Amino acid sequence: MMSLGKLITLKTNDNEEFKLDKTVAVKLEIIKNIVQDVDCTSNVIPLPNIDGKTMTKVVKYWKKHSEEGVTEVQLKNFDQDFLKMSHSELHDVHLAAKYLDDNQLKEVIIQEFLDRIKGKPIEEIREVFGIVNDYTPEEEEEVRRENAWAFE
Amino acid sequence: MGKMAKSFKSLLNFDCFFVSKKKKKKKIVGVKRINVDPVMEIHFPEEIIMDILIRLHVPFLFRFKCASKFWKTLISNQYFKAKRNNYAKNNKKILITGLIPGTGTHISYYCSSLSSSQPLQNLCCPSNHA
Repeated sequence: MMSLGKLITLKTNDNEEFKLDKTVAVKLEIIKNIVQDVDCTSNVIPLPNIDGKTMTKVVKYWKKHSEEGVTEVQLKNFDQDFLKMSHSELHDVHLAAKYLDDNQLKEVIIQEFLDRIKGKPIEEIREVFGIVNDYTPEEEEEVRRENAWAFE
Repeated sequence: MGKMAKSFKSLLNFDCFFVSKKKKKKKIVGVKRINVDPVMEIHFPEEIIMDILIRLHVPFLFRFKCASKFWKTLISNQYFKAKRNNYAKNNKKILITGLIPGTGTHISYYCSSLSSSQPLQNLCCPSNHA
């Protein structure tokens, strides 16, 4: 049995520290594995791929979603609010979720990306993903012609 | 720049793309590695873009080929196609309806994935019998 109230410290690549209840932290496969490998009660788990700003968001999400007695409606509203961030911030959180192997958070973010690009013209899709159009105007016209049926 | 140099450059792009693919096992593959051409700026790692693209319907995918050369290569790639097929196969959903025992007219709806890895999802729907 996991004892309650034990704290685990996660340290981001810009040296920000997040103290999490062990019961929240071990829900994540990757952290559970590290905790099992070493006794982490006094140690700090480094997260070399995540910065403090992103981790603040992730921790906020975890805390809300592991709150006791939280209703589905409350979570839905929280998620809606949580996802109000810029494309690049959303991308950072996706990377963090991927690194932490948090499938739930990952799915939420992928869905948000899909919602953001649904029915949008190519120009706006490029904006969402930070794509630079590297086609010459002639090449672009050709590739659009090849795939014209998809635009109908 | 001569034509030769240009085609060499695109060859380089192509090779690098596959190099990064072979290293798939790593959690995050930096796409910056394929940045042979400074104009070709991609901030999103290939894996993340794939995660999003495999969920799209085919007409959207073809549309997205027009976004950039990199996306066109990615979408046309065999590995991507296999990944997408696999995703589609595992995420086919079936709808199950059932009478709630004892209530007579109350029907509940469930959505189930054909793969056993995903739990049965209870669908809340507006009920006329409520």
